[in-house]
Amino acid sequence: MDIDRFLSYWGHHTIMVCIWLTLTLSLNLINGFCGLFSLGHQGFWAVGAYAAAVTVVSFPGGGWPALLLSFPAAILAAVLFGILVGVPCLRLKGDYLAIATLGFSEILRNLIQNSERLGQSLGMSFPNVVRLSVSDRRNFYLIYLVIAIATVALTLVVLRNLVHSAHGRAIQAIRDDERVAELLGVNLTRYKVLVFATGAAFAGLAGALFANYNSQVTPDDFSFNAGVLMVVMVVLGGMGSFTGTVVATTLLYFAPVLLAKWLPETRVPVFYDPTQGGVVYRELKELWQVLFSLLLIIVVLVRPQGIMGGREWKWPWKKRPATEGAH
Amino acid sequence: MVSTASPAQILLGARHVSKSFGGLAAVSDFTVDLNENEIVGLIGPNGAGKTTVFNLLTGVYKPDKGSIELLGQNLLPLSPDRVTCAGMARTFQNIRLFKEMTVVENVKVGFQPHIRSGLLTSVIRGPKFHNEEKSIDERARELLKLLGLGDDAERLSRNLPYGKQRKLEIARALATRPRVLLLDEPAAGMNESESAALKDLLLQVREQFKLTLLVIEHHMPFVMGLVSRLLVLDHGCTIAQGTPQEIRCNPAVIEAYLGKDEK
Repeated sequence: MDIDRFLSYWGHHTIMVCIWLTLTLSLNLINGFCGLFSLGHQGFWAVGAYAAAVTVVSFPGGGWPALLLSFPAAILAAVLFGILVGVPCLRLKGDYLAIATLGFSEILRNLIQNSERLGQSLGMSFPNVVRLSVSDRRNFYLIYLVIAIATVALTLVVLRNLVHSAHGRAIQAIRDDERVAELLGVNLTRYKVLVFATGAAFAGLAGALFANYNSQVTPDDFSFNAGVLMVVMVVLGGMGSFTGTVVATTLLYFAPVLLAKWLPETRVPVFYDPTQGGVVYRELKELWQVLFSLLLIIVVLVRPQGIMGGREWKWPWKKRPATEGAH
Repeated sequence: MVSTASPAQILLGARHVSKSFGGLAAVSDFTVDLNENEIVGLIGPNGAGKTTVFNLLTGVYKPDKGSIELLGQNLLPLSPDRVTCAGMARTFQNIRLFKEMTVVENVKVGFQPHIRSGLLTSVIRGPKFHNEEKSIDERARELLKLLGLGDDAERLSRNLPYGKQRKLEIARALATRPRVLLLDEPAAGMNESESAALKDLLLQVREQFKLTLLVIEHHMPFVMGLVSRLLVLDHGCTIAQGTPQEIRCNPAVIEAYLGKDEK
C-alpha cells in the first residue's frame, strides 16, 4: 500500500483519536474520579484551541516559535477558564453542576461567535506551521503523530500518577462522600478547583494540538454535541477507569470511520413507506447515530457501570500491588 | 461541674453554644469542657440534639451563639477540614465509609491532614513521594491491626460486616491524629460481648493515642463503664450532668431517659 495514502488516512485518524483521548481522559478526572459531572469540557477545549490559534496568528514572525509558544498559551488560558468555571460551581452538584458547566461553555461559544477578532462563525484559518516547513506530507503526518502520541502518553502518566497518590485519594473521597472527606481534612475548595484546572489544562493541550494540526478552528468544532460525545465516551468506558476511557473513545471514534470505509455502499432497509415506493434503503454509514444510540441503550441496560466499571488494565506479568483494590 | 481543672488542661471547651434551624432550637446554651484524657458521654432521647452538637463542634454547622475552642484555638471561623487539622476527628451515627474503596484506602484518606508531598512530587513520583506512600501504608495497616481489621485490609469497605464497619470508621478517624475524638453511637447494633470488647478497645486506644473522647451512646451498660462524666440532653437543653453514678441516681433522668431499669 502506498505509504503516503496510508499515512494521510490512518495517520490523520490516529492524530484525531489522540486529541479525543486527551479530552476524554481529562474529563474522566473531573466526572469519573471526582464525581463533578461536567458537561462543559468542550468549552475548555475551545479556549485552548482559540488561544493557540491567536498565538500562532499574532506572534510576531510566526513559524516554529509561535507554534511552540501556542501550547503553553493554550494550557494557561484553559486553566484560567477552568478556575473561572470551577470557583462559582463549587457549591453545585449533580444535574445543577452539569447545567452550569454547559452554560459556561455555551456562553463561551456565543462570545466566540460574536467576536470579530476570533472570526465569528467562520472561525480562524491560519498557515499550518509544520506543513509549510516540511518538504512532503509524509513528514507532516509523522511529526504530528509523534506530538499527538506524546500528548496522550503525557496525559495518561500525569493523570494516573495524580489519581494514585494522596491527592488522588482525596479526589476520590470527594466523589464518594464529600462531607466525610471534608471531616477527614480534605479541603474541598482546593481540590475541586484543582480538578477543574487540571482537567481544563489537558483539554487546552488538546485544543492547541487540534488547532495547530487543523490550522483552522470554528465554533462548531466545540459544540454541545462534542461535549456530549465526550461524556458518553467516559460513561461508556466506565467512570473512574482510564482503561475504559481509552477503549470507549477509540471504539466510538473509529466505529463511524470504519463503517464509512469498509461498508461505503452497503444499503440496509430501514422502513416501509408506500409513498416512497415500498421499502426504503439507507446507506449504513448514515445510520451511525442510530447504532450509536442502540449501543448506548444496551450498555446502560446490561452494564451500567461501563465497559471497565472503574477497574484498570493490569499487565498480566505484573503482580497486582497489595495497596490497590478495585475502585 | 465535677472537674475543677485549670484552663490549661481543658482540651475542648464549648461555651453557651446555641443553634436553631428556623424556629426549632436544636441546641441551646450547650456548655462542655473536655479535660485531657477524659471520656465524656453525651446521652439523651432521639432528637435531643446530640448529633447536632457533634456537627457544631466539628464545624459542619456554625453556632448562632457561643464559643468553641480546641487547645485555646477558636474553632468558629474554621471550615470542617481545618477543624480536623486542628485536632478533632469523629465517626458517624449512620456509617459513612467510602464504599467503593478498600478498607485500607479508607484509612489512608484519614492521613490527609498530614500529607507533605506536593502535587508535582506526586505526579513526578520522586523518592519523597514513595517514602511517604510507604509510611502511610504501614501506619494505615498498623491502625487496622490495632482495631482487629488487619485481615480485611484489601476488602471493599462495603463488604465488611456492620461491627467492623464501625471499627473502620474509628480507624479512619484515628488516622487524622486527633487530640479529641467524637464517637457517634460506636456500639450501636452490637451485642453485649461485642460492646464490652469495644469498650476495652476504646480505653486501650485512648491510652495509646493520648485521646480525649466525647461519646454519644444509647447503650447504658456500655456508657456507664466507659465514661467519667455524663451530659444529658433533651430538646437541645442540658438537663443534667455528673458522674454515671449521679446520673443513675438522678430520678428525673432515670424516669425520663433510662426508664426504671436498675440494670
